[in-house]
Amino acid sequence: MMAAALRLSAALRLVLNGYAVRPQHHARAFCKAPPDDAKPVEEVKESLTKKQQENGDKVIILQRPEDSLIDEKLQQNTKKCEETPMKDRPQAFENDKEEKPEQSYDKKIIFQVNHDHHTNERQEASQMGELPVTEGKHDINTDFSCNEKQVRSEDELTMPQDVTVSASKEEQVVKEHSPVEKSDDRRATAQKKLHDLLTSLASADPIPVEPMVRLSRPKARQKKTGTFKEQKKATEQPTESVIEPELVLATKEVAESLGGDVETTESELLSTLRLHSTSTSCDDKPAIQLSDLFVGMKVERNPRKPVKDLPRHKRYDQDTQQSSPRSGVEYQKMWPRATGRPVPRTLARVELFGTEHLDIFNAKSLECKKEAVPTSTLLPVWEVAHKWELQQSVSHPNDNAFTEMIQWTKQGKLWTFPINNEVGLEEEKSVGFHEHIFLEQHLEGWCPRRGPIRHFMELVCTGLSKNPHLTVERKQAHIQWYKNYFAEKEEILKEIGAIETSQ
Amino acid sequence: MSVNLSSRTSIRLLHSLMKRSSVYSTGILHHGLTTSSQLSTDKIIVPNRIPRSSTAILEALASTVSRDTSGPHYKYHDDPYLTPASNLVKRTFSLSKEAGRKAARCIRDENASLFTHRPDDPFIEDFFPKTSYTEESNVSEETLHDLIQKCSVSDAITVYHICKSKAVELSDKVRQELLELVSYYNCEDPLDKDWVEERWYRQGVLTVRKTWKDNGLAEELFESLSNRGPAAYSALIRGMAQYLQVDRAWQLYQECREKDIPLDAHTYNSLIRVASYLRDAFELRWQLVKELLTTMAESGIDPNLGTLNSTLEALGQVASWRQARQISLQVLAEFNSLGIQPSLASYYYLLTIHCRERGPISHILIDILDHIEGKEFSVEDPKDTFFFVTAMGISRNHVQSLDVARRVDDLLHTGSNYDLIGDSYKESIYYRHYFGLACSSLTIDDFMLLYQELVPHIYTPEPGVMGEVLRSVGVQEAFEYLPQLWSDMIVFDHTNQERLVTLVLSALSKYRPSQEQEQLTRQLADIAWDIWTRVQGQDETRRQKVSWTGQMIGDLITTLVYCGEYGKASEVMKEANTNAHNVLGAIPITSLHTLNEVAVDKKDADIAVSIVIYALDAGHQEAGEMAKQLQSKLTLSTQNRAKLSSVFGSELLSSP
Repeated sequence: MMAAALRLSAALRLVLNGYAVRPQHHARAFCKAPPDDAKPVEEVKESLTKKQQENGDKVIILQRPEDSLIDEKLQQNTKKCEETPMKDRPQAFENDKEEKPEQSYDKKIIFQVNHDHHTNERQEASQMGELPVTEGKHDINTDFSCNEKQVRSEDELTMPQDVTVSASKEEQVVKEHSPVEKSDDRRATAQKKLHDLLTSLASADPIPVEPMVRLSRPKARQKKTGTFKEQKKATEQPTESVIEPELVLATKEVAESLGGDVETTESELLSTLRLHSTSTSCDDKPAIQLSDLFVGMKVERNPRKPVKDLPRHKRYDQDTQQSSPRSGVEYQKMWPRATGRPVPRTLARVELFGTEHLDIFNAKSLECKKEAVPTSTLLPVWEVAHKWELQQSVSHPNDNAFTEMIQWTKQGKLWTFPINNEVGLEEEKSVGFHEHIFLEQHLEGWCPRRGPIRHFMELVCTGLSKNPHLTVERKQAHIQWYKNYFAEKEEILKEIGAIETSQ
Repeated sequence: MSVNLSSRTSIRLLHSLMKRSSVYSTGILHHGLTTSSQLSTDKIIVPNRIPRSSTAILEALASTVSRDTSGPHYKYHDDPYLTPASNLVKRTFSLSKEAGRKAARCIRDENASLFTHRPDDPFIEDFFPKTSYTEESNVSEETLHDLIQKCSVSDAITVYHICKSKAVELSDKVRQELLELVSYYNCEDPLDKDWVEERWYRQGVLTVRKTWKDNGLAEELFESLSNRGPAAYSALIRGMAQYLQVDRAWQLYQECREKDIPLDAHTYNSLIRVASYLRDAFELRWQLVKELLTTMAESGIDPNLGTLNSTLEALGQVASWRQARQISLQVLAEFNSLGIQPSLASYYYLLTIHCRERGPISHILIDILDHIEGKEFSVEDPKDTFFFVTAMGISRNHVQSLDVARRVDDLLHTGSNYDLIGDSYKESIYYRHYFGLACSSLTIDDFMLLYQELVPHIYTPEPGVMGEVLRSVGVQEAFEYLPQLWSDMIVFDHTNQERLVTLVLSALSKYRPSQEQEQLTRQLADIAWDIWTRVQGQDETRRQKVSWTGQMIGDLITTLVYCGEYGKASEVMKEANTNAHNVLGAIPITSLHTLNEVAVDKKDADIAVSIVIYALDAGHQEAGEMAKQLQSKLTLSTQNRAKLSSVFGSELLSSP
């Protein structure tokens, strides 16, 4: 019961203050809740957004007609007070008697609303329509509150789940001006006080009502709320029995098992349960009304929690355990345990290439150019270095002997495949193999056609042709050396007949 | 060894390779066929020779050898005794091996005069000492040019200074080349290509501060150029942007615009990359990037992959901006329409933009995977190596789906994509995420399959991962894995981690032996006793020590008692009793009960009495009850009686 009232009050505060954070104690004025009951605003906000349909509407409905009604009523009252001279006071008393209990209750609610505003944010109060509330009235309300409590407590007993209901019921009564006759002596003194106050009120300058009030509340809608309330009234009764006693018991157990503030937890749980149970009985009208209500309202939103700007370079290992050792529980809290089930695609697919373009570059001109000019690099050394670094960035220790051989080949430490025994012999590339092998041509012109010298030189040529370690120039130089040698020794050779004399 | 293993497959592959080269098949075989049947009709077509690189054959052979998960990595000795298992030992092993090479090279370079015998032809430069340059060296422009081509920065700088002091004329061309080189490397030598291990174990720390050497050689060279054209400006702007001298890079860019000097795409890319350092608000940063892109388009510069990646990187730096996601997709679509295919780095940036820790869950990773699954990638951008580790991290922490993680893993093992894992640090984070996710989403039996496949040769779990594994073993009561895990923990050096030891003990304490599990019971008892001896025998001077807590001792006693090692349990109890100051907190009463029951059964009054006294000292309320029970079930010696009465008072003992 308290929880429902609490939730309501919290939600009410929330709506009225445009989601502004309020100190806790204001919540209590409404329903005499224990001090630790006030929910954190975030929670309320959450529940509000979740259950705007059922909850938020009621709250606002409650508040709206009262404002205007009270305006009228107050004016009425003050008028009355002005009319009745001081002499006819008892008469006036009689008049007042008829209306007062309900009226004051209404005022009470409004008073709370306004009390909030006065104490906290005057600017918002002005939006809501400020009432001429004075210190004197304050007194009345506090005096009357004992009576109201009685009245209300009866209501609450029958309908614990919704304070709104009781309030709206009373409104209904007020609206219809049905006189509730109560000859209660205890009230006499209180009424007297009220009258005193009202007279003093009449003498004081009423605080002008701001035009905003009228603007934000079109008359036509009042009727609507009335009909809605009637409908609601009809559906209210069954909601009481929705929460079975076993469920309540279970809730209690859960709350106890959770520890901490057991009462608060329990009341919160119950309120949530009620919310779900009432949600079924709610009709679908509120959807329209909520939006209607917000039309004229300036909702001051709480500034978003500033999102902490992450370091510019989000490191890929930011969440690793080594960087910040966390306890297991904490860690799991941050990253809820994943399940093996495939993740359902709850989110829409992201079309990687399907969205609209930036429209900075013109695709067609680019294609034309690509065909026309082969791009040359502006900075060749830079490009080389960049490529080299790129390659290095993906190099890693060799997995097997083949990759190792690839690495060695690239470093020039290994014969290149396919095996070629002339690899790296750059100087010899321009020399044909025939120059190495067919060396007899160099004998022509000086070597005798026959005889031992010829025989010897042919052997020299064969030997040289088989030597892989000498270059062609060296081989020719060898032959040249013999040529010179034999030329020097020509006389002797001729004597011994090694060279045939051409005769 | 791998050569032997793979030789048979390699030969087969060589055959197919040769067949495919078609000289063999169409040329000779086909010819042989035609001569026998229809000689006249068919014309012999000799196909063109396919030029192959010197490493083509080796690459074909290497592709037949896949990574062997059952043996140590190729770089280690294939000997169980020498195979490193823990992360620290792996690292030490690899780096020591490389340090040996470094030492050899150092000796060779310092004693260059001793290595003059050069019989080899062709000459292999790598085997000979490096030429060092001093003031006396005979240097020319040619020397400088060669050094620049070899990217040896410090030598090039030395030679440049020598040239300057000797008043050797240097052309603008060589100055420009040197400017490019020192701008790229910021006048510092890159890591030598031979130090693969060092690169592998180096943690790729991203510096996010200005490291550009102000008034360094690059700027000097820039000033010395007689004709400062686009190349000079581009080189300096790129260098400054790369090393985050952002303001001056921007200043130079403005100068270029004033002087109407055209810049190329790469230079614009480097400016786009640092655009976020020039403005504060998200919107303004993006505005600047857009301006740069527009300028590019207006001056007719073709964007390239680098433009895409740097634009995305700039967006990644404003990723908490609400519009960043939308814009990033627009950028991707724009470049796609230009025919520029994103590289892995582009996808990496997309992931950083879309998957924020505090943002809404985005499933873009799945879309990316749909797009690139089965493709083989080669490195195109330095940030390409960040993709896999990020993708795995997102699978675990953002998408929380093992399915996605498996797909990422499949992609990693497609073709030569594994090269793009980056370095050892990224690799181990990759597997850390993979294991963490698998551990939390698989049953312990399924998880252990993965564990047995990858541990210890591919991946050594860190203590954190090990903790999760142990926790899930404890929760699922899969005691049969504890022997393996404990022996792994020993080789991974995890036994000095108090958290892990506690987890092992708490898992052990849940074990209740049954008849058919005698071997397991014995093994678990051994583990428990091993923990005890290890912790008792640990080096006092060690920094990281395991200190006993009451819970740990309690778990240990429970395990030992249930595994039938009463003697050991009582020994532990005695030790805990005598050195109570070494134990933090009290042994839980359940463990004391367990031990006490067995002690009573075995009529071991000494232990039972000491347990009761301990329980009383620890403040357990059940102590009195235990004492009574003891008295009723055992006949106590006078000594024990005296002990009990001294703590409990005589009336408790005499009451029954």
